[in-house]
Amino acid sequence: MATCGQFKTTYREDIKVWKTLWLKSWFAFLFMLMILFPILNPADCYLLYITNICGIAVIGSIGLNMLSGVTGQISIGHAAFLAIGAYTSAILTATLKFPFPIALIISGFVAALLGLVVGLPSMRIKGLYLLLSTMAFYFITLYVLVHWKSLTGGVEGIEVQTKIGSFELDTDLKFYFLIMPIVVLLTAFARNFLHTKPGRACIAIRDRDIAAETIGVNLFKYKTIAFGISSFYAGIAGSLFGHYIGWITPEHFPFSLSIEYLAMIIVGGLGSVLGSIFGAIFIIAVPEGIRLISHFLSNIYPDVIMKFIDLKGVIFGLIIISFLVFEPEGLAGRWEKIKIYFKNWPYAY
Amino acid sequence: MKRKSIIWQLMVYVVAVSLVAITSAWAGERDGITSKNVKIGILTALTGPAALYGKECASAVQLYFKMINDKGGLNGRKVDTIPVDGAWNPATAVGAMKILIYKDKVFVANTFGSQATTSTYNMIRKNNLPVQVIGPVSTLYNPPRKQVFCVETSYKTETIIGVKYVMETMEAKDPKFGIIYIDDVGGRGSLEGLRAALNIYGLKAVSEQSYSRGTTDFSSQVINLQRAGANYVILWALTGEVVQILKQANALNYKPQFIGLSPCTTNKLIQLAGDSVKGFFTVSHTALVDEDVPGMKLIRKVAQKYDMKPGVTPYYYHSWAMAKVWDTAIRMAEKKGDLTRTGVIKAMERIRDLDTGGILPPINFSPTQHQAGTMARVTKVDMKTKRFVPVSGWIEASF
Amino acid sequence: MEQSAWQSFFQLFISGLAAGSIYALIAVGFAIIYKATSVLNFAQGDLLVLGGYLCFSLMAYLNIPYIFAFLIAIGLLALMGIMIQRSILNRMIGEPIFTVVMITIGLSSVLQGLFGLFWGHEEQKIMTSAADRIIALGGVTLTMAHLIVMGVIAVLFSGFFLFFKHSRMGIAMRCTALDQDTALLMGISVKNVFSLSWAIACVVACVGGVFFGQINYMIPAMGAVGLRAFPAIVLGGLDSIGGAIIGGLTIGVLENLISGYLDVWLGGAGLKEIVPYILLLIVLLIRPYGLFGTKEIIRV
Repeated sequence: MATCGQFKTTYREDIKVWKTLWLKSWFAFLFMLMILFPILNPADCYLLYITNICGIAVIGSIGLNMLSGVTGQISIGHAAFLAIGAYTSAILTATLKFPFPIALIISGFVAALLGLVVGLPSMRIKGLYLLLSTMAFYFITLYVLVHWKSLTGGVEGIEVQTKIGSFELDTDLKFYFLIMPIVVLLTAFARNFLHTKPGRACIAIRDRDIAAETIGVNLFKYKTIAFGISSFYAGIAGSLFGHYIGWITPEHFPFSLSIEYLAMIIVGGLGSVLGSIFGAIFIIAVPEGIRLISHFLSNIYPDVIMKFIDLKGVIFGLIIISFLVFEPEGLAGRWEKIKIYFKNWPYAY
Repeated sequence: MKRKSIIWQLMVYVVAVSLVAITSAWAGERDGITSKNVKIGILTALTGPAALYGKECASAVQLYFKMINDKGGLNGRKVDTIPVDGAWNPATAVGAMKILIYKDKVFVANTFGSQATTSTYNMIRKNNLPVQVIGPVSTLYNPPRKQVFCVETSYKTETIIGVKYVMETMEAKDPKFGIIYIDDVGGRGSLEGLRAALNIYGLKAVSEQSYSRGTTDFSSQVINLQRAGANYVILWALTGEVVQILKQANALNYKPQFIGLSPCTTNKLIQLAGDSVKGFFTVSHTALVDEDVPGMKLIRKVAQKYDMKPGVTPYYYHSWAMAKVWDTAIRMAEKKGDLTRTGVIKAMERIRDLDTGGILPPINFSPTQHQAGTMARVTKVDMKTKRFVPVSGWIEASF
Repeated sequence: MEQSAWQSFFQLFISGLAAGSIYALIAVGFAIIYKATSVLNFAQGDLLVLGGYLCFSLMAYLNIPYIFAFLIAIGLLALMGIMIQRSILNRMIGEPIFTVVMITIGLSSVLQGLFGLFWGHEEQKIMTSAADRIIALGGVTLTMAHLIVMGVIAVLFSGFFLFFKHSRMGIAMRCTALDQDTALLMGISVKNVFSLSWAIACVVACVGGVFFGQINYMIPAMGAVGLRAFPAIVLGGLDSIGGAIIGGLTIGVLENLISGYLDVWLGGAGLKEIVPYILLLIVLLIRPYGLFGTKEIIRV
């Protein structure tokens, strides 16, 4: 299958999304699989649940990657934006009786608006200091959620219902067909965004912000745009999460959620849309897998599992460490290497 | 290079196996009961910050049904108890509940923690799954929801009982109440209880101090209480946190009557707090760890038989009682010939004066009352034997 | 029992200093690692708890006297710091900072799991007779352990000051922090410098952990206390050891004063929890590198 590379004669060709026929057919296959997969399952099942949660995580992690991977502004306050999205949408549907789709979109924009505000200090604060200031934002948001009882229901939270007219989204299957189109849409948007002027400007900012500024990139504008887009994604993901779970409290958005999202993009690959997808699936699937394995084993050795349940965290931590030690570029980097390997096969290079 | 590729292969296997494990967790028929066995799910926190309590919630139920199985099972059915780890994280808890309902097809379930229960409530309702919850949001049973039952006395009720005891039994002169509570569902419940109870006596708390999980330094809270002159202080805190509060107060030479609630009624508290625990009260709705009531004796005997250690927190004994409730309800449902989830729910609602051998006050449910606990006891630290001893009988929260 | 207004102010202040000294002790560990390797170590809180647990086990199970248990625990943790650096982080030199940060997050997960496995989830405490002794200073009280911690901080600070200023290795560390490539060119073994800085950070964590285990208590999830020290290190500037100490003390005092005087107006709203973060934001907006942090000069 060794090929001699692809030759492009125009820039338009270079930024094409569907570069080859192969790619097109692969995507068609994937599309078929995505339609067929849920139909083969019962309407309510664990597998669909995990898929849906992965879908939501993919939206959130693409959002974070647009900010941290593409623009280089590392944030550890992502859970706050998820919470803002979830609460906006919950309050709109529960108290003000908005229809769900409108609430979903509004929650994205509310989160984006707050994202713009949080993005403002990024002009002055950089690197790890920015990371810690987003952490501060997270804790302040959480404090407001807990204490503004009249709006957020305080620690007892809000019960959320998902209705479009009289049609109630109550099964995993229905949610699948709600979440997946949004995932595809937002993924495509992110993928295309990287090839637009703002997208390239963001990449330039990541690589060297001062250099970018000297060639005419407006740092202020594009950094806030990145914060806005990232929070929009998070808001949508949060809203979907809230409606899918059906009840939200401040405890649904722990600080560890932010860390999880950061883990997704770092393990997946910074700055890569494919990486965010891989990372989200990895961070959701591996702990679930460990849990399932221990669950199966607990049917055989119930007492042993109870005793060694703490190993779960050890295994998860070790997997993350070893992945990063052996593949610092993340799963997306490994994916590229595998592709190159098969492209050149049977030659080494 | 070679070692690297082996490790890579290993990692690919790990991921592949996890994916396969997930895909093989298929769904199927409902209502996990056959003529041979019954499955009881336990959604709890086996890891994470609440692991101590979560593990005990699981192991007590497991021990109870081990005993039942050895006696021939539940009307001849073997009981399988299936603990899953919700890790004190809502998303994880939902996944865990999906495993219980769709993969293991459990008949009934226990849940631990308010967020685990609220996150899974949709599923509980849809599958009509009877659940008993520990530490829930009060809105889950007040007004009652069809599938949700709770045997515990809420922290709100415990606090009311604490105030009642101070006012009526101790006949406190010029009482000034204060509270330190954690800013979550449990703590807020306790705060509500304090406000409600004091309202009845025409009083107001002189100081209400909150803290968040992970706080280790309580000096400002204690100093604030001292400045406000509070002489009766309710504490909603776990063992370690209560130790900190007592020590801080001791260091400040501030000696009000501290009143803890059931989560801190542990011998560990007395062991860790040293002399500063002197005179400490708690309001607890379970029997004490070393108490010689029939129920506790039974637990110790059974635990010894299976070479296990009985738990150290009240949650363990509480969960044992919950297992007993399932046992009773399922037998009652079978007697009526309606061994379905609806049948069990109806049977639960018929439970009257269920005796747990003194572990909990008698348990009563009814169609309008899904929360059984209305009583608690006041216990006091005995410095000589280094344990808690009851100083009152079961007190009702009503006035 | 009633106190005068001044007395309670001083009490809040002193208790705040005591609480802040614990933050400072944690923050110093962060600062040392950041200074030498520019990595923010998310596992610092867990290393602290590990130190506490080790000392606890040595005392409770092997009946080793407190002071020896303390020293052995310090030795073990220093060894562990070197091991972490040699086995994992050495491979990461030159990789993106955030990948390394992620590794420390993974490490934290591993450690928390191991705590649960070895020490269970029940609260443990290092019991010493001296720790709880109460010392009264003109109507204001604090415990012996807190006083010792403040002493330890003073010793640590002056020790590090001398070390970085005058010792050969200290100068090498500063040089590495300034510019890794140049340091390599000057014949400094950057690997050794990194190992040493991890060892020192682990030792500081262990000292912190042993006192933490006496003053507070340990559970496997207690590592989260590290997060509470973040505002302190940002306030002081990530790479400044003196800054970490001042930041820690400031935040401890401020938390107590806010809680003592502002909460009353807001109905006990628990402002204490977010005050450090609000302060952090304000400080960063005015001084983007903290109060004492080195301003990074970025060239194109």
